[in-house]
Amino acid sequence: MNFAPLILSAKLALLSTSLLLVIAAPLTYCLVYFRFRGKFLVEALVGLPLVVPPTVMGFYLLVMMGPDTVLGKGWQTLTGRPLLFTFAGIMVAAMIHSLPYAIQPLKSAYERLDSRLLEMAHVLGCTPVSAYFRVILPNTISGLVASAILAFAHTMGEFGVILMVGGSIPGKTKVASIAIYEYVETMQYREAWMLSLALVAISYLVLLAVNGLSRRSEHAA
Amino acid sequence: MQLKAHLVKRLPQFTIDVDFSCDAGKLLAFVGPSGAGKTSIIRMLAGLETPDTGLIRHAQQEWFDANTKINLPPQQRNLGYVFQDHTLFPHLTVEKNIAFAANNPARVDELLALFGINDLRHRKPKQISGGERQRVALAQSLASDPKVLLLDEPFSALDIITRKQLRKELKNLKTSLNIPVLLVTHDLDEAMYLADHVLPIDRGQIARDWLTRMMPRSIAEKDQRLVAIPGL
Repeated sequence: MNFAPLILSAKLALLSTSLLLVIAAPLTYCLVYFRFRGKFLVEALVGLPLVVPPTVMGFYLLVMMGPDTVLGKGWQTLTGRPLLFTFAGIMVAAMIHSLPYAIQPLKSAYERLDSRLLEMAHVLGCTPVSAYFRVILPNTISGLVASAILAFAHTMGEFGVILMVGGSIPGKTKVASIAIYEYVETMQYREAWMLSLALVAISYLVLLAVNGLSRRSEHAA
Repeated sequence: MQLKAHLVKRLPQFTIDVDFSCDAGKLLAFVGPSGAGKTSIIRMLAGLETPDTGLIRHAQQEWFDANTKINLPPQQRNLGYVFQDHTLFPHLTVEKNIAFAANNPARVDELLALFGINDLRHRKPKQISGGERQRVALAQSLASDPKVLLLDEPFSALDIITRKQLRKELKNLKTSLNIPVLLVTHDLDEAMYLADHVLPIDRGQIARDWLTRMMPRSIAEKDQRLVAIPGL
């Protein structure tokens, strides 16, 4: 069996989830704790990938990442490589598509946090940034873990958006779900079975591991 | 070092409009029924709520002035604040809760000894009793050597024995602190026991009528702590 698509999916999920959490955590912090004009517009925008079909999302990303666009040109200037049909391109697409899955559990965790803890931190001299690292983060670890699980699982099974912006280039953009689709198309059912089973097993093991970590961190707190 | 404030804030049910001051080493108690606006007053002093208009001045520094649009954030007021229900950081041990705002480690040891909680230093808040948590909260509020101490119903969730014991400790402590201490309580006996000045509050205003319902007018008129109340 060819493991390359599976390894590529895992690499994509791991990298995009890690980067996504770095973006999602401060974004959620702003959405929960700050008041600003047009907040409802931003909230609706980050939730958009939940309701827009992946092909539509993929089409817009395909247009936005093109070599003549600001994003595509900027990336080309910075790295010397195009964004479309590359691993970096599918990573950006996966991150955008998984954004609401990372934000929702974090948002619930921040909203559940006793607001007096944050007020206490401010009274005791913490700036908003130090209050985040010293009070919010340690008390919302389970939310962060839940975000990571959802974003990881969602990216592992990502299909439509990746196919649109990355195509199916072996070793670069041909992730497990695309490989399964192609196996079925070419009636290689044995390979499709094996890869699907491996994907299910990996996802299950990741869920078990992260749930275990989450329980341990909650117990420690 | 005196804390002086005139606070006006419109709430959905009533408007808070109070004027008071408190000197260093003295304790001013806001006493009144639940929902009278006492906690809002103390939150405005801390910078957690903003008055519609008014002035808050500590020593020569203005913390809030509606006219000049000065409004120092809580971080810059250097306050000690004990929240209702003795809120502590649940992820930190007693020692680290106190060290959270402390300027030096020696101060943490000093406060652990002062409040008799040295044995609890490695425990988490959920592993100690209500009275112990309250001592930790007081120690934490004093760790940064604050300019003003604010206490919001600090003893309300405690049993009567612990409450009396802690009241006694606070009474002894307030003079040595030598900073203005402002206490919110719904318990008139507690206020009369602890305070140098008592300000009865109801529906955001100085509540002469509420006070005379709670204690005989003849006693209230003679009590030096209540003389500042107009019309009494």
